[in-house]
Amino acid sequence: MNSHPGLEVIGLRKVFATGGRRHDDETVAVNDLSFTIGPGESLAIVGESGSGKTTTARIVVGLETPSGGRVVVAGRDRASHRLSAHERRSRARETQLVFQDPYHSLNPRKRVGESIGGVLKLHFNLRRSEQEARVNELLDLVGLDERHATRLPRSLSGGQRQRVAIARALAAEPGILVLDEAVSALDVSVQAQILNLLIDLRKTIEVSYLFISHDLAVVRYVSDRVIVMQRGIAVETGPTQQVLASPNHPYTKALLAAVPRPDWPIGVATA
Amino acid sequence: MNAAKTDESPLLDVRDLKLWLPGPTNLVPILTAVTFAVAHAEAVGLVGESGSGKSMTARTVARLLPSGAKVDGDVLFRGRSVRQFSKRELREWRQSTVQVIFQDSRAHINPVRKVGDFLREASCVNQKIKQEKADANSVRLLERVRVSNARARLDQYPHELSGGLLQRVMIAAALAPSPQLLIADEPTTALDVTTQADVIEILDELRREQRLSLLFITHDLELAAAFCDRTLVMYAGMIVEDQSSRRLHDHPLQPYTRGLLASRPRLDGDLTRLEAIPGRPVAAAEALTGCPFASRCVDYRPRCSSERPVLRPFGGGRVACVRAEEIHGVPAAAP
Repeated sequence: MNSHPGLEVIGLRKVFATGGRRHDDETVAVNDLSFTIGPGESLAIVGESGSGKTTTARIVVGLETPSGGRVVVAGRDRASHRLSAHERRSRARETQLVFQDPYHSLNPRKRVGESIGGVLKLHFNLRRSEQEARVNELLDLVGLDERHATRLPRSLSGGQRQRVAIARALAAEPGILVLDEAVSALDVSVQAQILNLLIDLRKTIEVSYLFISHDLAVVRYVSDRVIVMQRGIAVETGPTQQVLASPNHPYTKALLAAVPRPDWPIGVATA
Repeated sequence: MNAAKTDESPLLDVRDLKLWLPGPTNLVPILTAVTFAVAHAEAVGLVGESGSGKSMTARTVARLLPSGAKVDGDVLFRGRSVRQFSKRELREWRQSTVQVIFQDSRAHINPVRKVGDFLREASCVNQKIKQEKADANSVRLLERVRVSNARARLDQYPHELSGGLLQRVMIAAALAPSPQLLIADEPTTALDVTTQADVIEILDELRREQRLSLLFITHDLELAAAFCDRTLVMYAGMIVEDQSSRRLHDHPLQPYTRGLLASRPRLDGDLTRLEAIPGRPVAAAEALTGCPFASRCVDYRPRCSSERPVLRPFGGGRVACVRAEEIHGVPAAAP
């Protein structure tokens, strides 16, 4: 187990070259973003498209390199050089990513048990029987059972697939689970199940969440603190309940006003 | 609801619509019982989860079905059967009377033609406007959906426009021929919330201005409640509830509607676990005898597995639930 699975992001900056073939222009996707996530804490980043929330998630898990700033995981700076296989494996023990689309994030040819077992084989030295037991334990943790271990992803529903994706991410026993719009593609009735699962998981195991979402109402249920991002900049940050109940920044207010509801005063969004 | 053929008859009258689509081996049932009407200048929301048949209902109404589809029942537009339209009638009907906008506007516009070309075509073909006047007309259309720098936009390509802007261009084109019915299939689902609010506001304003009837398809009950006069809820290829949006939101009749409302995360109120509906949405083809929602229903009784519910008048709306009286008591007279 990782002793101190905290995450510290300091002055993070990411610039993409744009402007067609000549790359003569640049877009600042993330600009001077700083935050920390303590052990077992859940932080949400909320924003619309182009806010930089997904870029931040990708940098945290190491799929993208920052243009500036530091990412400190468990007290160690994230290296910017090419990683050895050993370094990549230990990084995988620190952060794991759950993607939005459970239809594309699982290997369609691998049975659920193999998918999860593969991660276990990579990180732990388990005997075959121990590994099987651990796979069943993980499936149980996400509300599935051992019968699902022999199934292929195509025979599972969207909600079940997302459960498998979460089980697979948890197999490496990461300190931080990064969830990038992990419930956005699901039907409402299934989305509620997965949200409940995420709420319950934090009570069962020691794991922190970095929860990326465009949906303020969803964030309310799964995060302790929230960062509201707009065009790469954190415009508001604070305890989730407080930010949603009494937002300070006009952008947070506009986001809240734009959430549909029956007595929606049409005209509020552009006012 | 019983449409007598008077002037009061609804604009769109869908009667016991059934649909099968060709599957790998045989025909697969998609819609099993769809009956509803849309009155003049009424906005009706059609809400359901994936596989419920809401989009296929819209496609069946507009006769935009793939080949090999088998349809039963009828779609009446101003009392005339759309299913009996000749090719020419159908073309004219789609050009001017009924318009459809889709979720993914980028997939429904030619990416190598300019916005101006697209709108000119909409004006010239559908509205029989002379080419010279078309551009002035296009600018007027764009301004009506609050697109800034309208004239400059005509020379832009679709990829230069944001999703919200492009959807407004699609709305402008759809409303150009002054249709009587607009079918909007998840028109704002791919958009950011603030952009969605803008687009919905424009749609709402234009439909009131033009006294347009609207069939608004969405997965979002709250959005339907915010924007539509009446909401229909679909499950497994059938309509399970039909009420005014306000009443549906405050007093849902079908246990499924109640479950949907409870499972949606809220911005206010108690912060406990969500009341998730167990299981997953089923498609019409997977539904067994009896109520298709039976296996997930909190109000389940054995009779739900044997008796097939039909959509029937209840408490001012319509509901498909054999236990409606037991759950809600005998309803008060319809308002």
